[in-house]
Amino acid sequence: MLCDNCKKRQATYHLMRSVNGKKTESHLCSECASELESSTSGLEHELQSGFSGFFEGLNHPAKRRTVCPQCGATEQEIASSGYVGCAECYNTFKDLLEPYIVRLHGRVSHCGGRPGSLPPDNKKRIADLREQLKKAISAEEFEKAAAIRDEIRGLEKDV
Amino acid sequence: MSDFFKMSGSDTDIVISTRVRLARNLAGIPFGNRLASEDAERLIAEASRPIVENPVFSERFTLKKYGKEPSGELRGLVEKHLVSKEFAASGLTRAALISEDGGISVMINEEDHIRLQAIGSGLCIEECLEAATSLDRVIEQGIGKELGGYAFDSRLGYLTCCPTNIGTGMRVSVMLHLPALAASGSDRLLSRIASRFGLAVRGFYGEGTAATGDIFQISNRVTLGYDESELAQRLKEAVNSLIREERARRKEEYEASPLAFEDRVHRSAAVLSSARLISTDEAMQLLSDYRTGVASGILKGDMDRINALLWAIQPASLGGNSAASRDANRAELLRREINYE
Repeated sequence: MLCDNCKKRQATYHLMRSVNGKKTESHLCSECASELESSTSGLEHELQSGFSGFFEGLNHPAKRRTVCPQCGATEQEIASSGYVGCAECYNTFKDLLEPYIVRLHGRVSHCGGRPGSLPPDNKKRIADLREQLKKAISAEEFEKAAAIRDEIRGLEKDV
Repeated sequence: MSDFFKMSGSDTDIVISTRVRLARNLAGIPFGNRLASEDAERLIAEASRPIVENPVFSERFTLKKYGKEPSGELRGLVEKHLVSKEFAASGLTRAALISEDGGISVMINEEDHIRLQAIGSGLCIEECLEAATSLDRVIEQGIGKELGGYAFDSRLGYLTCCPTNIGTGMRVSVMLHLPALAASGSDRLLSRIASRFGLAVRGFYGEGTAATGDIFQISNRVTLGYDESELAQRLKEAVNSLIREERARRKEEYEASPLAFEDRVHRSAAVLSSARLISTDEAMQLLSDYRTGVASGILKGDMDRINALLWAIQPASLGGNSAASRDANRAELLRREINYE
């Protein structure tokens, strides 16, 4: 779909506005969407509603991408199928997907394994060490506590 | 009849098998539902290469490619839980790498680019997790970097086609034989345990299927927010509490009437070892009683062989042109495998 404003570029944003109760819809490219946003900061933006399935009733920001730039999946396709089109969809449709992910998993905070090609994640190790530090202090094992504290400091430098 | 899965664990009186599945995708190409056929071909070559070209693995694994046409062989693999129903039904160009003992399988181009699983008999969550994780590392390291590496986000973990699998991308599933719980109305207990531990309960053939032969599958529902060993531990706790309940109820049932209990398992063994025609449903129910008899020490028998029979008697595994010929083949197989005097 072409941008409703410039009619040249591909529309990747779906914008819904409500002015004095009157709703208007437009499909814009990212350049025109940014331009409009800066010129209409006083306008009240309203969200598209009527999403099917699990996305229904969630709060979306006024401006969002509706087509994934990497795979071409649309917001509607994802909402109706429940499947994303590629890794980039998680970034493109973050506002749409994250409330759903929270509902499914309870929290959005990965603490499992990582691909071997990535550097190790020290955050979990630091959290574990902090727990150990608390226990060492309450048990008055101060030498052990000092060693744990030093290890935490060393890891924090790398984060 | 092939041997049951090679890895073997504990509590085989109740636990039939354990399965750990990991879902992985590549960042540089669309996921299964939007995958172009040339990318599908490329992915098969890239994801299978680390195994096919590895001197240790290459002898143990067979790579098989599948096209759009339906395949009886795939139905057999579904029955053995080596590939998923979705993989068998998919119209994509896809491939499966299966180890000779049936303990490890890798589906390429399922809904996720790669789904690898390790299966063992009995309760062996840690062993399956270890096997799946090691193979995952081998595949990850061997895939060309031009496909973008594994799709991963530090907050969301491994990214998958369906958000239900993100995070660890791991599903641990334990198949349990719960005849005494099933007989005493297990639904409430199973759902209570499932909701307490955040788990899903299914029948023998997976989602939406009945618990044929008193067999239930229990698996983790959540995949994000906990690490692999925490998820595995929670499942293990739930499985252990079901094992305790089942053993207690089997004991109660036996003590209430030893003669009735023994009569039931002996009758089942007698029919299984002498019938000339037998349907899948009847065979599954009789095998459930026979398995209970062997687990209680009333009957002699080998648990791995009984477990293997649960798969071998399924329609696609048996082959044959009609239900009647399958019923005859099934009865013949059971007579051969079950020696009851």
